[in-house]
Amino acid sequence: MEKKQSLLKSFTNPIFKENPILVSLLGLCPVLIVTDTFDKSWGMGIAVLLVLIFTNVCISLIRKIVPNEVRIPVFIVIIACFVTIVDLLMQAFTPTLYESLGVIISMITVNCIILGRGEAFASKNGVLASLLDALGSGIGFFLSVSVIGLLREFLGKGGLTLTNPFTGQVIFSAYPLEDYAISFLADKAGAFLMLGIIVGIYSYVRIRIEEKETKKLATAEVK
Amino acid sequence: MEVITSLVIVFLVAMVTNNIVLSTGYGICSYIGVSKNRKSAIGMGCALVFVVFMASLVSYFLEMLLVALNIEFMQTIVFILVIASLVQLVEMICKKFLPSLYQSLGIYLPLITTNCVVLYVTKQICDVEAILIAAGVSGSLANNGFFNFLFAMVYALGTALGYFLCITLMSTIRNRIDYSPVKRGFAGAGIALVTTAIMVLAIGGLSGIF
Amino acid sequence: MEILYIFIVLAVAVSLFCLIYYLNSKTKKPDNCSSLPEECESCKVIFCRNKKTDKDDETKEK
Repeated sequence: MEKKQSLLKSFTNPIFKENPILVSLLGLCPVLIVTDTFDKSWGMGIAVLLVLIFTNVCISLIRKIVPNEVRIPVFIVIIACFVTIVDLLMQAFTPTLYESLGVIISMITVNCIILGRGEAFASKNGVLASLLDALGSGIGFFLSVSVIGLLREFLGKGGLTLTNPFTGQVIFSAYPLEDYAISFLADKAGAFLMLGIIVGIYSYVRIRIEEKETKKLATAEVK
Repeated sequence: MEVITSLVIVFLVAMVTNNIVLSTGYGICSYIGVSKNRKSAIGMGCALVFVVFMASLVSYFLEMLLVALNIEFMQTIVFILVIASLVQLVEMICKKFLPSLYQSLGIYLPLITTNCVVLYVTKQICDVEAILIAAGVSGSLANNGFFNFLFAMVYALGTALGYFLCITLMSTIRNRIDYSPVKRGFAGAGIALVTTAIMVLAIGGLSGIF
Repeated sequence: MEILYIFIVLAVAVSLFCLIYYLNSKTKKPDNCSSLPEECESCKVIFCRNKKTDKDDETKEK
């Protein structure tokens, strides 16, 4: 029962409490570049999720064979191989998404989320736990990147465009607030500003929740 | 003569108007952590300039080899391995022969392996014509092999110095922010990102000047 | 034919990297270097500060 609880915790922890982007501030590189449009954001989120799952499972499988001195080089090679695989897969199956993302997919190799989770968690825990941790971190990254992309596109261009990644067809495209759009948010400066505001608000909310919990514990102890 | 002015233009464009952090947003990975302190920022910047220069030197020729062998899709893997081994080699040489340099710079060398800037620059110099067109210089200058190499090196050096400039400025600003009252949630990363947004606006005003 | 090239290039690069990394981890740090705080290793770079230079700065300010 305890094992099940700790497994479940390793899945839910990275989504909200230790969100890789908003709390640990790892892997900010793609966030600023990819959140220009909502399509690119969730496409990138899926790519990072896939790479995370593959590398975590692989690292967890070979963790007992690899000698301790050459751990980091082996991890880097594994990550680079899987990134190349995902890159080629995206080039084949989702060509329009690949064209709009470009070189950022190769940048997943130096994304700190993957190396960080691999080193901190997957190299010490079993396959199922690493898989759940990868799913959690990937979903955390996907959620935060998608939310930021959604906000930036909605406020910066006044609407939304959804395209099918496999065929490039536009599913839904509406720009109702185009005349009131804050076009500043669609540029790089807006990326930094939006990310700073969201990180600030998230950390403020977390601080308040923690204060309430410590107050509750203090009053419970007094009673 | 036209080549020399183009070289200077490419250098200045890579360093100032197309600054890698403030204009394309690539170097953010370790930016927030390292720019807290002026000494860390200068150390990280210098180490990065050195590693970027050496890595682009090696990867320029490696790309030619990969194209000749027709295995271009191995670019990411080979480049990241080259960058990582170069960083380890530099650290080893610093430890053995230049211990005073290691004391000031060597600490930031492992951070550079996972820095987006190095991989981005090594990938960009594979296509020098695109660099020249982005800088507003005629793309036909890249036809000669030697000039191609010169432009690539100048671009790499300019980009790395641009990162150094940005991170040093950010650290001095953050030193001042430390004395100001900041709202609770925003202290640290939040206010740093908002300040960077203002810096992006300032640099954006210089676009097209060359 | 290309698969052979891939294997050769990968083998050379990976073995070179592993060798250099191993040699680097075996060379000792010079004597005066303070050991790096754990937050500064590779990806945990959020709060990276050199503790020795911090102490120097504090004594200087006083």
